[in-house]
Amino acid sequence: MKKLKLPLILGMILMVSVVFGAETFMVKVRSTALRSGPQFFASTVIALKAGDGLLLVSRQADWIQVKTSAGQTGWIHQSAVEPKKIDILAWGKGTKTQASANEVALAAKGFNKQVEDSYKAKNKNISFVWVDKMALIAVTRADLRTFLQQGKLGAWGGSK
Amino acid sequence: MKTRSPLILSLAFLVMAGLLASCSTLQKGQELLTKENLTKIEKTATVIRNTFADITEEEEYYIGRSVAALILSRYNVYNNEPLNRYVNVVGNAVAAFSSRPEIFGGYHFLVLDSAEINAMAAPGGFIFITRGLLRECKDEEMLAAVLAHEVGHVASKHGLQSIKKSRLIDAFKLLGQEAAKKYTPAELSQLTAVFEGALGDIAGSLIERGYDRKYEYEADGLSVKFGLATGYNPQGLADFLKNLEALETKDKGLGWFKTHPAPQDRLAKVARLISGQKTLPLRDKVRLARFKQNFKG
Repeated sequence: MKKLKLPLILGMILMVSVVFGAETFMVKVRSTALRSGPQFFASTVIALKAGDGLLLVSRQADWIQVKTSAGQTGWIHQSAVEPKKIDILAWGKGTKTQASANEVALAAKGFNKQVEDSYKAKNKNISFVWVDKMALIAVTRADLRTFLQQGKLGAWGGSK
Repeated sequence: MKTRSPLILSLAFLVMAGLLASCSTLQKGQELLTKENLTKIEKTATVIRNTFADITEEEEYYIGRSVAALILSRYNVYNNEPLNRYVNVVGNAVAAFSSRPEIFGGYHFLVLDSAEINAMAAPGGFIFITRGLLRECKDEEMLAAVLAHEVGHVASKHGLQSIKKSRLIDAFKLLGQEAAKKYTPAELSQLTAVFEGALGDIAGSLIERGYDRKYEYEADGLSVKFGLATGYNPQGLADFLKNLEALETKDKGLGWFKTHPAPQDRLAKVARLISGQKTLPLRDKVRLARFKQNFKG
């Protein structure tokens, strides 16, 4: 019995070390998708938003395979995330709280809407009407896919 | 043996307890925002944030919005919905194959109602192109090349690099002290003054002085790279630069001619990049047809 204890204990230490040595990331863009493959046009596994925590599974060129706190696995482009220490042991029981704390930290830090509003109040001659309209122009991934397909671009290209 | 096992067990217990304790102090819900933690965040923010690269995605977005507003205070918008739509789709296509497909608020493009030949990229993905420049694009390849050049400026954060270092240090000092809380009126006023200064630095580069020439050559290189990755023939950029070369004497000192290196110098570098490619995509008729359809009138 006693002989069994040592490997068991070492195993437990190793497990905890793996958990703490794990590479974790936080979504840094307002919204994005966890994709089924390492390609821009792969289908969406789940929608992600700024502050969501992710655990690294593997890497492939500019893409990383990650796991969400709810257990879904998928791919995300590295430009959408930043390395961040996350308490992954708290996953599953407090994801929502964790995201909200991150959101608070993100929103309250630096040049933000409050600073923009202050700038607007000081510079009433500078109009943001078209900036707001511009920010609303949305090209969906489905639109892009059709555009590329019709124009023989991306994965639909090949004529050299 | 008898004495080792309890020792190992105790050591293991201590290690695990230590790890779990440190874990619980990591980002755990609301506990993150205690007074003590805020002080830690403030100190870290002051120490860590030094250069343009430390500006967060969200900050870049808000800086970009205001730079865009400044550009729009000087130019009128060409309010042509189908044309703006087409430019946005082409621009987003090359952005999807860029080194930075994901940015905080996504890439957005807008046509400006000006005869001047110009295109400008504000940080955060707000990209402008004039009707004068569009007139010199004769097919989708050329348009994609120009938009990919602008996406290159955003992807490499050239706009943010125009902010004076001393201003960034001032900003980070203020932001470091005030992380994770609402600003008081006095703090907000100071921060807004620094913000305005940063906008002036960027707008000055975009509209008046132009970027450092090395950034323009870099953006041309990225245009070739992103264009090829999308499936466009990079000869589009070379052809566009040839068109500019022909116009240079007439429009010298205006728009792109004022803020960019001479077209012939750019052309020479781009030609070298293209000649290094083993195979080039064909300029498909379908793309030319839809370009003409969207550029009618």
